[in-house]
Amino acid sequence: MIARQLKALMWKDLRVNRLIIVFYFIGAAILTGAAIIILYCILPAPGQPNAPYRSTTQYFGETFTLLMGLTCLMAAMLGANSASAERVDRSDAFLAYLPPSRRLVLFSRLAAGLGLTLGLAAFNLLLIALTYSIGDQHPSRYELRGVESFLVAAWVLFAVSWGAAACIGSSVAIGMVIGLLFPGMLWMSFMNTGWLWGLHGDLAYVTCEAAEVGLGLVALACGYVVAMKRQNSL
Amino acid sequence: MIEPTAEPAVEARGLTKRFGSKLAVGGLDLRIEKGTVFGFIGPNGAGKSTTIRMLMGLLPMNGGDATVMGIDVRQRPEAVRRCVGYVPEQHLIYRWMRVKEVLWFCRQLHEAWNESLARELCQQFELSGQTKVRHLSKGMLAKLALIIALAPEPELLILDEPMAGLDPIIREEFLETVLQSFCRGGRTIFFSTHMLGDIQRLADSVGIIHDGRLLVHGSVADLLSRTKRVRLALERDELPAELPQGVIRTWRNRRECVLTITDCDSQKVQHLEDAAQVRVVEVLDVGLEDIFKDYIKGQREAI
Amino acid sequence: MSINSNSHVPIFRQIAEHIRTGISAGIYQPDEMLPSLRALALELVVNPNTIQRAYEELEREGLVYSRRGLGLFVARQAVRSARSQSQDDVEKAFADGIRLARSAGLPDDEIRHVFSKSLARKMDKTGGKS
Repeated sequence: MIARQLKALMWKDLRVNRLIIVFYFIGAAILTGAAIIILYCILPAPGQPNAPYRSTTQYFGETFTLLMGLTCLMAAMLGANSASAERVDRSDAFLAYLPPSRRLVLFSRLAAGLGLTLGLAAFNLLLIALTYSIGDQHPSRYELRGVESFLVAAWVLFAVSWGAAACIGSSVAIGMVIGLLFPGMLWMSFMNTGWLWGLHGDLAYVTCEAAEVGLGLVALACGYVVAMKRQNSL
Repeated sequence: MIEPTAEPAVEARGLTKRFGSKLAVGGLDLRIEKGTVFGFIGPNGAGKSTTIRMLMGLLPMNGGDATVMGIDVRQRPEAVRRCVGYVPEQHLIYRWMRVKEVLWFCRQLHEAWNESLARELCQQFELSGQTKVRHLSKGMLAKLALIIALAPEPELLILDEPMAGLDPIIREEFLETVLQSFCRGGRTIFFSTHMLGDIQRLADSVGIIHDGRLLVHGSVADLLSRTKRVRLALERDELPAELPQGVIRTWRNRRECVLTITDCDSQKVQHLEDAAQVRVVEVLDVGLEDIFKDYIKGQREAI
Repeated sequence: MSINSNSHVPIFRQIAEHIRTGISAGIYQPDEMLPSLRALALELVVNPNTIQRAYEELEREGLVYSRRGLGLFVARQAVRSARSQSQDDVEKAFADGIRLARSAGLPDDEIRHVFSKSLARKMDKTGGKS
């Protein structure tokens, strides 16, 4: 019975987030298209003396690493939308008088949002991996670290938006959360490689990422508790 | 058809809800027998919806306790929602879903679901499965909400002003469907409304709520036969010193006075006729609407 | 049959009254079955419990009898009883009229005069139908 309920709830939650996924793929297509145009019409061909890229593989590899930025943005939107979309259009009041337990409803929202975020990240990683496996190059250490930073950023953006939207919860708030958090998080993930907290090298990097993962967990839990409380007074 | 059983469909004792410092429902006692129709009336903001939402376990109560179909609402609100069909005042069904998607969704979430009944009702209401919820008219939306509430074949159907703002034809269709489901037997219906005519047609018992308190709770026929307006023509501009028990409202104009009295009997009338200040006594029957208005106005004027 | 759902007369009384006049007017013949609770409830959009009360009242008056498992049937002597019952109702209606007259302050003589005048007028119209 619970499996049947969960299936229906998940279906609903995936549909609630459908628009974000569509946006993502449109965004990804635009970025890829722009990259192709820039490469073949504007930049000098790779291998020529003044070309900024050594190879087409590297060019596309880095383009898709840049796409991780969009993945992060969508992670934030998914987090916020999963937590508050149904409150904004008030359909959660309809759900409230149907039989499933509050816990199941929240779990399904979280699972759908997180699942979609993971799906987008996996898609993005796949693009990068495919690019390098077709080409003859290996990604640089610097680039791999960038991808890793982006993945952690996607996680923390999802979690913090989820938590914040559960607490504030209006479409304006979602916009604010994304607008304020996104640049901050990006900055953090770029800057955390070096000099923070007097640590150096890999240690600083790992500490920063651990802190971000921890922050994400706390935000997720807070959002869950707040949403549970709010559900009880619909 | 009324068979009072040991266990009522709904029982509330001292039900209380505060919103901040405002008392929304104060110590409400309610008992609805199984297999009956209960009509819940009261002015806007009297606490009808708050009471209903507490009974559904949607709103935590500040005091008192309630059982619905034998289930303690505080302990197992989810079990209550499983055996109660609920049509709220506002229909907040997912606007992006199609009608058939809504029905599929609700069917998956309910343990029991009578699909053939749902289909039959859709056909009866001419509700197409392909239509998006956001394109449904208010009346159609209300009908969809009713289908969702009826298809799990609940033992108790709670309707919270479901017909507010609907045209008379749709209201009639809606009521017929509710009645049809009631006629299939074994079902209890609890509905709140402003349509007193509907109460008179459908309700076995009625409760009038005002400022979070239940003023009357009893059978409609009793209320109609026992509540009277007594019109007095006075000798001078002066009321009898002792008015009988159960005066719910007093209206005066010069040497005329109209008392609305509950449990009005010949003794009370005789008592008034005997009073020296009274010249003529006339006993008038009252309709449900006037009874309701007199209760509410009497309360307001007493303050 | 139409129901006035805003009247001060309880609906079960209105239904009983309708069937009673129906019997005395010959709409329902002796030994004919009355509509079932459900059918009448759905037709009139009223609670079946209310129909039940109306039927109980008619049964108490001896206008109808029940056959177990089948339903309610119009009694043989129903027409006479229904007429006498209708007489009571007429009496009640007159009582209302008298009350109205008294509260307007008319003396009894004048009330009598008003009554015979209105009866005479009706007789003119219907040709003194007995």
